[in-house]
Amino acid sequence: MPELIEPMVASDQSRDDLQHQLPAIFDSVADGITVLDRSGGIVLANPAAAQLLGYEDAADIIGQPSGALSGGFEMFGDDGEPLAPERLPTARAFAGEEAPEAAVRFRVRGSLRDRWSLVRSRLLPGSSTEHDLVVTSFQDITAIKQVELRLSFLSDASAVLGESLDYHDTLSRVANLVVPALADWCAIDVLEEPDQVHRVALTHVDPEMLALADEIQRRWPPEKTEEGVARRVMRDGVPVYVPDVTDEMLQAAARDDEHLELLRRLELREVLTVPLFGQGRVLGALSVGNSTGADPLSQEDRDLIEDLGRRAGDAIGGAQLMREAQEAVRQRDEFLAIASHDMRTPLAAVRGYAQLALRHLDRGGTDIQPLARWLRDIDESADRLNDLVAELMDVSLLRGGKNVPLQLAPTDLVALVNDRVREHATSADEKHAFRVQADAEEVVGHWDAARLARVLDNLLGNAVKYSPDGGDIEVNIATDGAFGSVTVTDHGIGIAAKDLGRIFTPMFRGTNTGSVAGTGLGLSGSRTLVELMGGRIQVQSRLGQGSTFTIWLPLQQANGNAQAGTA
Amino acid sequence: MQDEHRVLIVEDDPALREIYAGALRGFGHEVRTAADGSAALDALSNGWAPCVVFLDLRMPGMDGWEFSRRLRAEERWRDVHVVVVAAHFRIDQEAADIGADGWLQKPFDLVRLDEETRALCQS
Repeated sequence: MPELIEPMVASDQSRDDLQHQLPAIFDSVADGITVLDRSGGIVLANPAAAQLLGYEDAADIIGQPSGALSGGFEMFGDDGEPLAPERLPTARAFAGEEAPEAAVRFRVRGSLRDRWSLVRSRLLPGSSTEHDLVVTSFQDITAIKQVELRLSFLSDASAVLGESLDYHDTLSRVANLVVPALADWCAIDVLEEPDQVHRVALTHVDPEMLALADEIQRRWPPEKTEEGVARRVMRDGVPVYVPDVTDEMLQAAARDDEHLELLRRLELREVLTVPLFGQGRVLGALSVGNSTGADPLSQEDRDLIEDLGRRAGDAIGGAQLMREAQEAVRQRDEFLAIASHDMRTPLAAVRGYAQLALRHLDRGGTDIQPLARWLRDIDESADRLNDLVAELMDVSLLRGGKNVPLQLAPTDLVALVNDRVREHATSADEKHAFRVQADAEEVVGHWDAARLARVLDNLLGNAVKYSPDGGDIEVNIATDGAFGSVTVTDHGIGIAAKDLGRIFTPMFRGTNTGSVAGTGLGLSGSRTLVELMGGRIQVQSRLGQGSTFTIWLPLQQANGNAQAGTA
Repeated sequence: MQDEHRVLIVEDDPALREIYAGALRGFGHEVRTAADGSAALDALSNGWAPCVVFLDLRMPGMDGWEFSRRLRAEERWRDVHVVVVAAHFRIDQEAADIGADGWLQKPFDLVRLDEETRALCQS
């Protein structure tokens, strides 16, 4: 030791003073310093060392025999495994290793928190081997290690969150990172359908407690709870921290005595619930908790969990966006499949009639009567095909958020309805009979005749299609001076009450339509077109008894309504 | 030309029903038509057994799937061939699913109706 110190002082007196102050200097060092002999006994220690080891004063540990201290705490190496005494730098220095050092995590028995020290040792050779001493310094690196741990926790969590679009699976894995790194218990709830809470993850460090928590969740599902901490956090978007869970709180949360009993057995002492933010809204809540006897969450832990909530929210939001995008692509593909399917029927008719005509000519047929008929049929089928293309174009425009250019002109509803009914009557089978009744000679308004014809075709076509056993189809045209209306009533399969609210939704089809061909676009397109013309459409139906669709169209266009198609 | 084979057309679209029937009659076959599965079963129940049924699947009323189930359930119709006629892009799969003898995707050359009929009925 002496050769280490060559004090730069002016006089012998000063040198002596400094010698006297060495113990005070030793005591004032922030790092803990111990000197041990080969027996493991502590021959010298400074107050910082005593405090690190959980003692008040250096005097409490000096002179303690070997092993008296090591029973007082547990030690772990960087790998998290318990650290055997011979792997400590002190022992390694005695064994002859040059300046060994190690980062050691230890916990004084009875304390709740782990601490970290960077431990460095150095041999001080004595006159003989048995008089060797080892000086060991302990630098408290707990704060650095905690930052490091949090960063690696967040980076692990981010990696997990970014790995998969199946966020149920991802969130379970995040819960398994939180437990046991930060807390004893973790639950994650996600808002899926509006106001529908799904518990996607639940984990507990103690398997028995997990079984208990599972049982509680199964018997008193959080989904059914109207009000609770998680719900409140999801509603308000603000974390809720309960550092001391009281029995009164459990009583308030419990729905019956047995529930209360099981909640008590969980021994929850503190609970923190943070919102999961993503896409600018709250998508769920992450709750962590500790049982009696565990380390309480520090402020840093709580900040970390909030940060985790934001990251998890981002991941859920991203996954939900991706799902929506995939769903949009799937719907477009389905739309294309349906569109091409629907165009093939009139196309098949065009081709079929043309081939019949050609065969007739090939066989030397000279009768022009059938030729004229087939040509008319070709013309009609081409017309159907054209209508279909126009309808698909409208649907495509509207789905893309674009406007449909309406061509408004004076149109007589009575004439138009009669024309469309005639058309349907000629192609319908003998099972169906159309009955048209009009209140007035004519009902004239400014409407887009071609598109209105398509709406009528849709309603009339549906009436036939969804009354497979036949029956009358009643069509009424009326006016009250402000609106003209058309009502189409069939006596077919009807619409289930639960479907009524959705039948105007694009691509929705009634649950009882079976294999009746259809795109699920007709009614949604009809409603859009009617509304663009300033009108509305309504349905009344009873399952198994038939349906009545009514459209109302304004006789007078409001100012500016000539551009009904523009936003 | 003599009536060669008995053919049943089950198709809900009236234009196509007429076209297929006209074409097959032109090829010399005896043809009946039905607008849905139950009308087709009626035609069969009168003791008139066709060699082949050209069957649309998506129809109001009894659809093609239900019709083919009922057809297959009856011993006396065991030898009736079924050819699916549809516009669906997975028609091959749909035909295989109901155990049909073949399929024609709309629109097709009307000669195919005759070719299918002869191939199935002359074997």
